[in-house]
Amino acid sequence: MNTILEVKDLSVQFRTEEGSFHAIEHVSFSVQEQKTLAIVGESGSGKSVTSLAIMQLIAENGNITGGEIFIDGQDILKLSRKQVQHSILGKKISMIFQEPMTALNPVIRIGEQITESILEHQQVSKQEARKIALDTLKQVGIPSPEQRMKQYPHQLSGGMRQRVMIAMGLVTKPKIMIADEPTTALDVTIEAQILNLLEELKRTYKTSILFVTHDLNIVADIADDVLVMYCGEVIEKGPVVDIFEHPRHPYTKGLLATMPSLDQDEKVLPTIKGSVPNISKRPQGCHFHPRCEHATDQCRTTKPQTYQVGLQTVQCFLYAPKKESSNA
Amino acid sequence: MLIKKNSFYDYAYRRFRRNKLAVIGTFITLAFVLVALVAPVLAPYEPSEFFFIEGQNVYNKYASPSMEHLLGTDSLGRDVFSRLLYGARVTMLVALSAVIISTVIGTIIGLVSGYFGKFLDAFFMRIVDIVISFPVLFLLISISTIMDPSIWIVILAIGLVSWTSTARLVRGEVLRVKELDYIVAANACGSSSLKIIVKHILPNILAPIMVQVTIGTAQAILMEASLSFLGVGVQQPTPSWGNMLMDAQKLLVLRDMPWIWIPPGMVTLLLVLAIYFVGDGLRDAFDPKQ
Amino acid sequence: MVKYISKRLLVSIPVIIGITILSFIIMKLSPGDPLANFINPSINMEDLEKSRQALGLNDPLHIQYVKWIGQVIRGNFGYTYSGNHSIGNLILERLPNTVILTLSAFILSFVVGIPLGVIGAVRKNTRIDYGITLMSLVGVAIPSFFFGLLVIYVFALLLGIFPSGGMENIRAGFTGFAYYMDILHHLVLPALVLSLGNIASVSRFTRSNMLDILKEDYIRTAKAKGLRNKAIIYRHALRNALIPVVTIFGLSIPFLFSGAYITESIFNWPGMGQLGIRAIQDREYGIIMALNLITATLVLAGNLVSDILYAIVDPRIRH
Repeated sequence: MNTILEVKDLSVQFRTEEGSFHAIEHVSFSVQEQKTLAIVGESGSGKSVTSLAIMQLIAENGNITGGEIFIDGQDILKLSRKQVQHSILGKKISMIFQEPMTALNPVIRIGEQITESILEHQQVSKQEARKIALDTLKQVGIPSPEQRMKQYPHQLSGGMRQRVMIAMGLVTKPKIMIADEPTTALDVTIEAQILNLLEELKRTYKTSILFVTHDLNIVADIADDVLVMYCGEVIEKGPVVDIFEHPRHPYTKGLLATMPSLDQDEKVLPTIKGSVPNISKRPQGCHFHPRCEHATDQCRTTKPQTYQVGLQTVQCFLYAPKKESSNA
Repeated sequence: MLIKKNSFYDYAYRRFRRNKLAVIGTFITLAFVLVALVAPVLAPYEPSEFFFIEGQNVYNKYASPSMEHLLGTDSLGRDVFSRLLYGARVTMLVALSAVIISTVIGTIIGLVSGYFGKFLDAFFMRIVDIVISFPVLFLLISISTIMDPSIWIVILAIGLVSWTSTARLVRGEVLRVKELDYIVAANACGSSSLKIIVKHILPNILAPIMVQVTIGTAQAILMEASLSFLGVGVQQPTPSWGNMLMDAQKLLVLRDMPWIWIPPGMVTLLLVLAIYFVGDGLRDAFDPKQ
Repeated sequence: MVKYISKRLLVSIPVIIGITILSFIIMKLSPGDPLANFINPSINMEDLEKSRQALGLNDPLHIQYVKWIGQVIRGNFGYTYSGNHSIGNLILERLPNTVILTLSAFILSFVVGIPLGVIGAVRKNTRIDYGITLMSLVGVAIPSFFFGLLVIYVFALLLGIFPSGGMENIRAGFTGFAYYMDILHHLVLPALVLSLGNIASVSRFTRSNMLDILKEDYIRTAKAKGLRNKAIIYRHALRNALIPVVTIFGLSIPFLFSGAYITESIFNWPGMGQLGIRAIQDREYGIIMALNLITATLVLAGNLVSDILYAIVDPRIRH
């Protein structure tokens, strides 16, 4: 199976008035052809920065300080800004954003916003581009697409707008699509429709999906693999079934325990004590140690390596080979 | 230090200090204020003193710059340099007094409009619409032609026509601040309107008002200069940078005696520019987005 | 949109009434009461008292106001003190010249100001940006009469490229195309002086708008689509940034009329402003008041038009 997206050792730094901080550090993962990888984490975990870094869209005061990003075998960090614009963004990789309200240009008609992508990346006439746009709008389940093409974003409902965003992302048939919390701003019923649509489109368009979310329920539904981030680092990754059946990292365990589920009838949901530390005040050693029940002196001073446990990798001393043998 | 550490104003002050143009602007402005204060000490002559050509009963008009008269003399034989220094006092007096008037009027009307809303708001905003329909200079000219022009009338006129932007600004800020939770809470707790306005709303909108005061001062200087240039502002023999340029409407003066009209023009430009630097610096410093 | 426009029209009714009331008050406060000038001075003494009666100068104020408005609507602004010139006609003669000057300055402000603002925003924090920013600050800070004098000094007196004043070279007696070119030649300097402040504010406003817009989510979307920079700036950012610039259309009208007073008097341009300045010198209050009322009404109309334009260019209001 082909690897579509591979991120190796990616680090991103932000400069602020209080100093420079790493938003993400040494993030590595890969996404296979026609698979869905979900990045899970609380706000401030670096999941959005990771996806924006792949799209080369991080804010002016941030920059990539290390690592490689391969899209379809090409290290895009070695390409010029122009080359990335011309041959990667919108062509091999596209992105849908959280807020369909603000992510569409309010003064440009839907039709033009979709066709401009096609005209930018494919050698087709305006008529052909229009036809492709119409077809794609039909594919994403928009009724009477001819009329919609002439409308402006504010004339559409939130769910419709997100469908337009998806159509915009798919219209150039990219190899991979990044979806950054695409349903957070929507009602629950609409959310389910959009998720089903993404599932279906992944098959028809043969794309991979990088799904960024804080919602574990969604992950269980749509992901093949899961990546858990905390304080800018990948603390655990593996196939979705393994992660949900046997979470390894104490943080992942905590996250899963906080998930409400129908077959449990506990009155009070458990929570993880403490809160995500501010980017400027990240603790030494394992970033999670102040909130962790298993924290030892080692965790307070030294950053754990990543250890392989079955199909999962975990960044936690609990799974260091020595410790594992003594436990067993 | 008056400013509490790590408060909003502390951060703003630090941001302001880092802004080179703003710091330069502040120094230039302060230098002008100083000059205005000590003008009598610095000025070699009285501003309205006439000079005669030695040994003759003829005014020493249009004299070129010399050691005796650094910037020469004007059409009536007065020392341009001395008039320039005294002009700074007039300019500052007019601008600052006018800004105080316009800020007080504008703030009160803005607060009332924004806080009470409904009829009062509609009423005052229509007044604003009416006043801004008249080009500022037209109103100024009307006011100062109706009454006999004097410095006080000029101050009053400028104050009375330039409160509208402050009123609109304050109204908008009040509408924004009014929705803040603790003000809604103070309202719910039955605090009196006056108390809420003075204790909670006013401190919250002080920053934009300060910016407006700065910009307003610069604009008032320009208005005074225009009025005096047109002859309906500060009247002779009192020197003002605006009326010092009146002579330049004569082609002869304009072409052959640049020392008469370039210095007052340049100092006006420099002072207004410096104040704008300060204003821009303040706006950026107060803007948390920056 | 019909609702928006009709609401906007409704709001301007009290404003136009307020404008006339304010003009009326200023007029009544003026020395000599310009209302008295409504009497044609060429009539004999017997008719004079009749005219006073007819004009209602002895009536209560509100009735005087109503009668005055009735005259004004018919275009009668009274007569000047010196000579028996109709003020309405005097202004009407000058109106086109002022319109030529202000309209040129208006167009110049946007044609020059908008690109400067866009360049500043796109090249943010570069030397070009600093240069434009400094220039626009000087543009708003320089007293317009001083700039006008400087321009005459340099371009007319030192270099001799442009005439120092007036609107046409009467002695040359140009006709046809040459006549219009001559007016254009005379127009360059005053239009430049009148538009400078406006160019500066338009470019500052455009720049800060552009910078805000470039931070918007939909710009990020456009970048994610791999569009080239030109498309992002001109198609996606500029279209949004220009919408609020339309509001400056309205705001710049009173600014330009104010400026016309000074510019016309410096350049000897035979427009309403120059008429106004002469009126101040000759204490012709009737002319000042009429100019006040006419310009205020023009400004109100201009604001109305720019608000309507705003509704037309912004699809969020249009639909």
